[in-house]
Amino acid sequence: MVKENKIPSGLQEKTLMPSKQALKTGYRYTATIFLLFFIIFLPGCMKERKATRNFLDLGEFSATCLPNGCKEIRDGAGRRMLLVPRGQRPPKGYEGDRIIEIPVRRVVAYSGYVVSLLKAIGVLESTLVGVTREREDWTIEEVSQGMKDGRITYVGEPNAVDYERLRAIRPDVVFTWDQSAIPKIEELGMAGVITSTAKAMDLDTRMRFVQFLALFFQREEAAGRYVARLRAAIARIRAMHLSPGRPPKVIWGDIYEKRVMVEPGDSWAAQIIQLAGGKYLFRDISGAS
Amino acid sequence: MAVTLERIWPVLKGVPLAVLTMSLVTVDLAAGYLCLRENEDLFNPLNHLGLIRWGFTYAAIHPWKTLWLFLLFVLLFILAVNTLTCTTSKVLFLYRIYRNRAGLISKLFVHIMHYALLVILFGLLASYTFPGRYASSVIAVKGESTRIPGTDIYLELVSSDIDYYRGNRLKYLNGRTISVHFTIGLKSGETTVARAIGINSPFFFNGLGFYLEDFGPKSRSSMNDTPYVRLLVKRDRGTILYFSGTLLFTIGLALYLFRVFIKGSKPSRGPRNHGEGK
Repeated sequence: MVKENKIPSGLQEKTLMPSKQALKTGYRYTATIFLLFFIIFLPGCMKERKATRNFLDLGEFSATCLPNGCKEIRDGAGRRMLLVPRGQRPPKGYEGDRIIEIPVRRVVAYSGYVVSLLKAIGVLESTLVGVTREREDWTIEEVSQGMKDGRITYVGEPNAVDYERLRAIRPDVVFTWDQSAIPKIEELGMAGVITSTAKAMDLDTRMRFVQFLALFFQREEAAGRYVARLRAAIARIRAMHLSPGRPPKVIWGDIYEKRVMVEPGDSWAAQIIQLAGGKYLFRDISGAS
Repeated sequence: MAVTLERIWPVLKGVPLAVLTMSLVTVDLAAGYLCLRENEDLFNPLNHLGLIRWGFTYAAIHPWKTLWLFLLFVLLFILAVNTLTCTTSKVLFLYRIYRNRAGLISKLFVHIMHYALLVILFGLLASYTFPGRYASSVIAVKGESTRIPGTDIYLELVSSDIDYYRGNRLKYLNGRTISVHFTIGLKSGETTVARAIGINSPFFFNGLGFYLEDFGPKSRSSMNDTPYVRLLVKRDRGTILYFSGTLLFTIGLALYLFRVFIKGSKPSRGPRNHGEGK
């Protein structure tokens, strides 16, 4: 015989079922919370500006305008430096900072990408004095000719720079991606600027990096025109709506002895491939370049 | 003014406000997690610039991606006011009851912990609001001394101890760093010291905090095998506050547990009507 567990009717009404008013309040409360969630989160997808009047945001690089034409910049490693026009004094309170006089006159660049940007803003021939690849490896005619003429010096491979040769050519700034080289460069009395970032640059940051570089040469307008040309080219590619029936599978990387290194899925290389209608096979990977 | 305070005091110290605020904090942090995950390079400069400068630069350019953080400050402020008013009400009630009797101090232990939480929160706010002018990254390697900008302190990487994963259980981690310990040599005038640093394990010297931001090599097969560290150096004005708050919290907790478990006293329930007492 099964006993029924009867609940006293009074108790059932008062304690097991919430009142209609309490339920309405609860629903309103929950709805408010979810609405707040979407109000906070969804607008984050909206496109936003990249600069204010005095501040330029370039991913992990940045520049803040200060009085007297000076600029406080941060390189790819978050190191703060002050760009001071020649003949000017740094603003009060910045005297102890790393100071670089601009426009920079003598430059060494580790990266071929930086060298190509120097050409884009029209300062390659007048400022580049050192590179880390031999003459035969260069396809930029100005560099090859400069090395032949002795104006540009090969200072050694990036992981084996000849610091005596580097000191001999007296650069104002060394643009490098190698953080471990910075202490030695600074000890030799030169300014080192890190051009790489902890996370791979996306396409927009990669395009606009030239605006960061241009600050050292006071060529901001030339950099702006270059970025505008790049944006126009990208817009033309987008307008083609490239979507082949079977998208080609693409990887982008370097193959060395015993290792293969690829660009992550959130990098500029992956975005270019996708823009061109390809399928980047490492799009699920994120991290450093 | 007194009449206004009398009217809003019960609301400020009430449980409904605490529950509502904590629910909103949860929602806000959920949104914040998503914003933070997709925009790390937007929030990293907060460590260097401090809240005020960061607010006028990065946050001004990306208002919608950073809105959740400022909302969080507002909600935490409300929560702090709620905690302060509720705890103070209970403390005043206990004082009225036990003023001429023994046992007042022991009843206050749990409330000391609440006040300590407020000190910790305030210390964290001070830490991010005032990072000091010379907050900057400094790179150190073995054999090279580097000056910290704006100071007369030189630092050098003395030794590095990097553990790499070896095994078959997590093959994708093979050869990659799993733990790091570095020894940094510091020289200021005639003073020379050595300090250990690791991930989430900073040190302090001459009023400056040194935090490990980056290091290398990160794997056995790294292109560049030269060990280096990148340190964030800043004058952290909130350190004293949040360490004091932590110490106060620990003391309050230890005394409370001693009272409850060793002496066998029952925990104080405090006033039934949130501090009003009858």
